[in-house]
Amino acid sequence: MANILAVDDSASMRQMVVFTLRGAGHQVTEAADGQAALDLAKRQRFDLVLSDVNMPRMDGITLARELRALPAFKFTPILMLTTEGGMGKKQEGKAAGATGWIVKPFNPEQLLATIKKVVG
Amino acid sequence: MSDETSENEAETVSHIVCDEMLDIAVAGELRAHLLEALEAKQPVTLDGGAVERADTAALQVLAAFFQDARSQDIDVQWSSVSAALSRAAELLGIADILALKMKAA
Amino acid sequence: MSIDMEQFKATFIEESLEGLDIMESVLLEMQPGAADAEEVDNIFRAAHSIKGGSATFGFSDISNFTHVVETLLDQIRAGEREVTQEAIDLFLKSVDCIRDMLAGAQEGFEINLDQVAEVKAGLDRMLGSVAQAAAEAGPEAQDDATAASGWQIVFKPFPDMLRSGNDVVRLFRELDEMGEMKVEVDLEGLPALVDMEPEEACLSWTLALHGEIDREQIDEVFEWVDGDCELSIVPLGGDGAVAAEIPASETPAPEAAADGPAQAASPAPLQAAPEAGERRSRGDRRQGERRKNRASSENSSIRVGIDKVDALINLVGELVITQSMLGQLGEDFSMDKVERLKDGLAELERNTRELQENVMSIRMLPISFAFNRFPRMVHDLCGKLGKKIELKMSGEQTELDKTVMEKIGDPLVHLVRNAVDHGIETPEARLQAGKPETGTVHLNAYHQGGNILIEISDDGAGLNRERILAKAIERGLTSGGDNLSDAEVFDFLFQPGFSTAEVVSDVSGRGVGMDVVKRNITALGGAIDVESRPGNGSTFTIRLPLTLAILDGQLVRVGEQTFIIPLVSIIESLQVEPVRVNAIAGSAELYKLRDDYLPIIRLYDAFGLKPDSTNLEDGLLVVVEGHGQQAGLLVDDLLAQQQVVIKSLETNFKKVGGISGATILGDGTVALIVDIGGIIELSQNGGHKRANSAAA
Repeated sequence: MANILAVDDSASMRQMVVFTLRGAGHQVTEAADGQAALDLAKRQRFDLVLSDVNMPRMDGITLARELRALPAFKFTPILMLTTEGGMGKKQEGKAAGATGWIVKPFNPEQLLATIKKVVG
Repeated sequence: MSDETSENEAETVSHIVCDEMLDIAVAGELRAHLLEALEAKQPVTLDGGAVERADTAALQVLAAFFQDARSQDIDVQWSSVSAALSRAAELLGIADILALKMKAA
Repeated sequence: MSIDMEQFKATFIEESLEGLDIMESVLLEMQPGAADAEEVDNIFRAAHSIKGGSATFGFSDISNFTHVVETLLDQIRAGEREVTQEAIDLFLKSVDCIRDMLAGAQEGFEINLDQVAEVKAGLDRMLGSVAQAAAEAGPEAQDDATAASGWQIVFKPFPDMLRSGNDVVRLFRELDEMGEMKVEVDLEGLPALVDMEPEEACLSWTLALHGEIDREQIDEVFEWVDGDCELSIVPLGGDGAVAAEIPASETPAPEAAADGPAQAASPAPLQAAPEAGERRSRGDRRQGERRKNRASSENSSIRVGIDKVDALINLVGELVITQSMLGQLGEDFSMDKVERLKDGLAELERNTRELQENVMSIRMLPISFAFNRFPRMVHDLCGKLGKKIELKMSGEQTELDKTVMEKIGDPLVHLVRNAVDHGIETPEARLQAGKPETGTVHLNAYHQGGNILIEISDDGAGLNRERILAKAIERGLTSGGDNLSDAEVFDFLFQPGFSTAEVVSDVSGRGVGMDVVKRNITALGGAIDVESRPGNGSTFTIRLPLTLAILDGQLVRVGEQTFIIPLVSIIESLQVEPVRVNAIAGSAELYKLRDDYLPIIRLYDAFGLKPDSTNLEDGLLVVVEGHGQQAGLLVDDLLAQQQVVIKSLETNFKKVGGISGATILGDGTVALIVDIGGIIELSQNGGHKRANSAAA
């Protein structure tokens, strides 16, 4: 089972994501913004990063870019949790190095199905 | 990583053990080990028994290695193959090239 | 796997309400035309989170509503839209609507949709796109009925594709799960190992995927690599051959037809996965099961910073170490280890104290939680009353127990309303009085000793002593008195049903008066004072205990009983000098302390106990202050000072006059906590009635 870093400034979204992933047997670490996530990533490896886009301190796009610059995260799957605002953020995320995205709103089943595309 | 090309004194066979996570992060290293084995021009045995995950990048490296070995008449054998490895190779349609068709469990 | 989304809703609502508070306070500060990028970013983010969360947790009406707000804010953020006063007002109304909708969701009641619809219409107008709603409501893209018998997929990744973390093995595994898949690899691009870039994709594939599979499903598999590869997806003919001959109009998937001629040999790069609105059908769960019986969960939780929890865990760890150390010591104890025992006990005391402080701090919240609502309230009241008022706030970070905070909210609202309504004059009146047109209401909070003080001051007209006195005489509260101090006169304000307002405005309500304010504050163990100077304004000062659970107490002995006097109420303790005692009318005794006369309250008398001695000189006088009055409590002896945990008498027994609660002492005995304000009042009613005013 995968070791996943879940990044979102919304506590309820984090709760839902963490609960779902743990329920599926994954190990999950939480961060409330990009900066906190990056600080964690500098100390620890993860098999997958799930990140919200709009966050205080450091947004998800910047986080993806910063992670790709870390040797340990050069190829780690990074999925952006975006809202269905068209292609803009998705492409921005991809350009920054993200692997893919999950469109909000999603339910636990969709989250797990999507995760399967990159881990396990 | 793929444990060093350990020369077996009696038979001089290059023996390479594949990582559990045989993925893009180790593809460069894998390539280096396999290149050494090619240069040694000795028979090679590969141990893929521990592989839990094999991805495209690593499998491509293996495919190129098998292709080269075949054209240079170097004998390559799998000492063991995990299910994950043979399944991944099948999905990419390169089980033949990697000589995994038979061993597929 | 099914996960109950209900459990996350409480958190969602809580964080959304916080987000709305932020939006509101930023909006209130915002000036038309001059939007600070960071401010706009903050409110955008709040709206964005609410929209995303509400959609996720099944509140589609909140999500739809907030979506429009978010879009407008996004336009402002991108510099495409001006910040007008109209927009600010509309956003503020939107905040109210969302708050209402959240409250409705939380309590499970229906809310007034007319108002929401009205604001939504305003937002839509501003967005200038009423039509969009219709477009959104349109049917989801043609979910083509007839799936092909299969698909041919030609897939050639660009070299960089693998670097993004996408893996062909996984893509193909997904396809393989959909149906029967045949894979043909094209090795043409495979270089010799020596020339190979190991991280670059070099193979390409042709897949035949058989089964009843929607084009959409396949698009979804390749969604993330769109743009990173050449991709062609065409339907297979009945026998597995590529259905190249089928005219476009007959191809099952209209999207595929648009992708150009389906020639397996020369796959056209696919700009597939066109945006085309919503491709996935996610509608089913939109309306999600919305359960009504959501118990009001607002009181049941508190959000605590993780650092506070970590500190607690740390302390508990230390406590466990100390405990085990003491345990070992106890197993084979001998007198030579007494020093170590003392050290251990000192350590235990330190651990316990720190643990207590930390646990208490969990309940503490900055008073900004209570202050937050006032900018908006003052803003709205000014509009209604035609006044100009600047609200100043300071000490917002002062921390206060959560329970106290919840209970002080309404009294504060009342006092601020009063200050705005009755305190501050109209702009004209102010100008006439030579004051600046804009009045000031100042909220201030700070700690003093074990108390938190909250001041509500205004620079308005001040209280009218004459009018209050006249009203008090009219109501028979006093026989008239030039000898009454200002404080005593103003104190009439807190009498039930006492209002001097000539016109009862709809702002300061009518039912709830200052008496309720005072009662609420007293119930919290606090007090309220007024200071006022004609023409200069008034200041109401609320004094509250920091917490309701623990107090610093002075233990005193009366006969065989131990009582606890709250340390904060004690001014000093002294030995009685008989010459200073004045007996008035036989029953009331006064003690002259410097220039004041204090009523003496013999505690044994008040509680009907048998003292060591009834002789004043044999006891000690504890000078206390409560409800703005001082008194001397006669006790037999002063014991230790310590923190005590307050147990309610009311919940465990019944309310007893002059007693605010009880506690259990270290030796297991119960001690009663003296209610200073209560005991002073009690003693006055019991015949000492005039003692205090005579002394003043």
